[in-house]
Amino acid sequence: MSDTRGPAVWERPLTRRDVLIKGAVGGGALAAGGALTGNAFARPTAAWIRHNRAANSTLVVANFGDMQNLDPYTSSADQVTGDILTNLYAIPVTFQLDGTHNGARFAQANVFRGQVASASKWSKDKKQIVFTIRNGIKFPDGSPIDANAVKFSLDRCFDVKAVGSFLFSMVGLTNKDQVDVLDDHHVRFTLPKPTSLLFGNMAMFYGSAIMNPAIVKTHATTADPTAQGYFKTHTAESGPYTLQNWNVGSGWTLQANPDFWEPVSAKTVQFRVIPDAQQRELLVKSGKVDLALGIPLKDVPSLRKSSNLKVVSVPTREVAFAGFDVTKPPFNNKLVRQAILYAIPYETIMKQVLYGQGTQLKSPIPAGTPNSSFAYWHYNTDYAKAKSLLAKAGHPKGFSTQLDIQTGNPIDEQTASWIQQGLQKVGIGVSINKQPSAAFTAQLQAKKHAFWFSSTSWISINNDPLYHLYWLYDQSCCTYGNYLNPKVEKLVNTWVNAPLNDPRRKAAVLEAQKIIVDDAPWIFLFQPPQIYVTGKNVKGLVFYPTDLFLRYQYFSKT
Amino acid sequence: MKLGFYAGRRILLLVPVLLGVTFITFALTRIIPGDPISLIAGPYVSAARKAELRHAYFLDRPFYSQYFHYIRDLLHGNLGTSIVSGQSVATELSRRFSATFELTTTALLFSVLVGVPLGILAAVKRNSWWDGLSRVIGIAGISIPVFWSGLMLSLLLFYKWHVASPPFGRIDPQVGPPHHLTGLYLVDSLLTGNWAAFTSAFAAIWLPAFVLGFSVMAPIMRIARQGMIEALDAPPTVALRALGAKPSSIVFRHALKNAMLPVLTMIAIVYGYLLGGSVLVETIFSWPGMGLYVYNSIGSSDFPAVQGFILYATTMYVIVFLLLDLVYLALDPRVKY
Repeated sequence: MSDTRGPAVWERPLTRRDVLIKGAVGGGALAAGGALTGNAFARPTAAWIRHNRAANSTLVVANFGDMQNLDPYTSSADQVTGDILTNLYAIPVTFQLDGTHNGARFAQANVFRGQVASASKWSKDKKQIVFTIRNGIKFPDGSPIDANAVKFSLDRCFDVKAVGSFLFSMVGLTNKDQVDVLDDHHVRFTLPKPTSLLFGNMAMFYGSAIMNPAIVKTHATTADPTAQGYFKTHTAESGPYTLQNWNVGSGWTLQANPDFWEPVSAKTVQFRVIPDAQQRELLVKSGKVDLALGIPLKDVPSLRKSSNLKVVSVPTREVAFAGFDVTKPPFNNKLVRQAILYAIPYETIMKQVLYGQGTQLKSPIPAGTPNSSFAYWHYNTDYAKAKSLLAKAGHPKGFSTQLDIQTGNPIDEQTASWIQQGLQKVGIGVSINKQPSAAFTAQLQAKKHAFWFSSTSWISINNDPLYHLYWLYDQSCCTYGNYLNPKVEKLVNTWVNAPLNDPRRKAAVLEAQKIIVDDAPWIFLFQPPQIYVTGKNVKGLVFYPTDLFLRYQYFSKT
Repeated sequence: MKLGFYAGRRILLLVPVLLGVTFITFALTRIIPGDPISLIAGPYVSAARKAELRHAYFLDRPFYSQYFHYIRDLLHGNLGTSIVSGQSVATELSRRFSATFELTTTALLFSVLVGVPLGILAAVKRNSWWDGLSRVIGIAGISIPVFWSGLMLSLLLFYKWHVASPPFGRIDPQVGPPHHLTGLYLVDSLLTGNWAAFTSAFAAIWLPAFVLGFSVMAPIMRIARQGMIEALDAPPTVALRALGAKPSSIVFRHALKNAMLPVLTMIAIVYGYLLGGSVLVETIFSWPGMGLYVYNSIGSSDFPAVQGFILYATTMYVIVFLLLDLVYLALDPRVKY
């Protein structure tokens, strides 16, 4: 914010966000002051206020699991670790804040602002982009975050073949030599063709976390030149927080990084690993913790009745679908697939499994992603129609099959049993096959499931409709059901890098959805909500729909 | 001298047992379908990159070569690195072992100190209301599942009545663990005179230890009762009674020693079970022990972690039974080596 050089592409929204934050913090201070004067016995000594402030700037979080590999570039980015890495590392470009929903502030999913970068400028031919690195920003050890540090981190991303490097190659950044340092404050990317997906693909720690080069170099060895072994349990932060301690299995503490250049309200964030959901709920009700994560949907109605809690349920873009392998009989017959889609009790699933929360998914592209359309959906539950389609497909008496799911997820198990009951009504016998997650995932990635369901299988980290279809309907990695429609592929490949607001691109997205919904390669089921439960006095929950990770810097308590 | 020789031979015999266990575990973890790499790499990563990762963890090698590497590392005291967390399995297990060990030992102490006297009382006052009470306690302990009793007691004692501390694990994080000597918080805090840590660790452990101890108290109590009844009805005891020995002397000096032998066996069995099977209590009370660790590791096919745990658990089990045999030797003159 102190940076006044260069084109101020992202400066205005930053200021507005500052106002919001300072407003919230100021409001909190005023409220605390009010409480003080209201109590005749309280003597507002300086020490007393200081004591209160310390307590108020500490946020205690009950988390459901422990962190794993801490290297931002090789992390599996599971929900717990990803959440923390997001708060430890600054990235060049992140999402802008805007809007509220059900008491949570929302971040934009397609509008970006600079974090390490203060501005960016595309060349005329749109094949080069120059990032201006914010002036005077530092790592916690005092060394500068400059163009060289950015280049160093991006090089490491390519060297360790991070997940982010695959997202960079999707937009044509396949080699680290395409990233140049122009001077201390400017980094240039050179791309083979224009793209609209760059920011969305890099606004995540696993592509762009800025790591402190000094720490990486200190711990690099000839056997391990990128120090991957060291960073499994250590950090080299640049973001809002530093990892103060980690008591494996029990919890860890984040401490505000005094050198971070954006406001950080919650100075200390203490995480406690509380594996039992009921205990997490008791703890947040008792006020011993301020925020509980991983709350089951079934408990939401009763928690809402508690007067000292805030229950925030936000829609996600996670697509929960049951997939068919469209090359294996009987699922290679489109009529069979359509018949199955007609035989699913969607309303019952929404009511009984999601307790009326979340969104019913009616397209391969989730609601919340631009150009998503549910208009092509025509599969409202209709058992008679399902039966006649089955007869037409040559299965008048139905058939029997197996549905693979993961163990340990109640939502998956309940949904599977409703699918089973629905299909039973049209003569299709389903046996539910529960697998441990490693076995399920290995089989998924090897495309060996004939019929499977997982409610947590996919969320596109770039909120772009063609990015979403590119991975799920075009790329060999993720077309788990072997559904490859040449028409869809052509639409995706032609328009994927075109600007989002191009009307021809929008037409292509709609066309692709129409084809896919009709082909029925998935049972489109739902978009589950994300649940956060906080104490009434906790403010500043900001929901990031793209990655579902929290940003603890905005939290404050009154 | 002879006892030392016997113990030494028994310890040597452990080597082939443990070697066999490593082989069976190793083979089983490989037979069960599942690929840890697909979980840690995620979907975007290319097949080539996954192959590299598999290579890094030796997962691309044939079975016998993997096993050979594993045994070689094992002989160097290296249990391998967890594929999921990236931490050394030996370090994680030893940290978690002390948590589980402290909890189960406290639970066992509770169940023995309460269960054995109740069992003896029930035997001495057979068919009285004492006997009935001990039977009710026994049935309750066995039939109430720990996940229910744990949650209910937490709800009442922590949430409603504020007499138990919050389920934050082994110690209040504000207090912090005592200086590391044995890894057992109660012992370490006493040795270092850290009273705050002792109070906090005790406040944290008593409820989970009670829940766990209560669930295994029944078999110990019933065996103590049964053993005592048999000892009291045995001809020598009858003769003693006929000779006019004092009842307390009959129970404590003569019958107790005979009644304790089956109790010892039961304690050893229960202890072995507790060391590996306290996953539910650990989950409910956020206890950072081994049960939860291995439960998660099995789900993610984290081979080194699962192998390490089973090796650890087997070793403990065998050692407990070795100790039991030695104690038998000392107590029972009929046993010869």
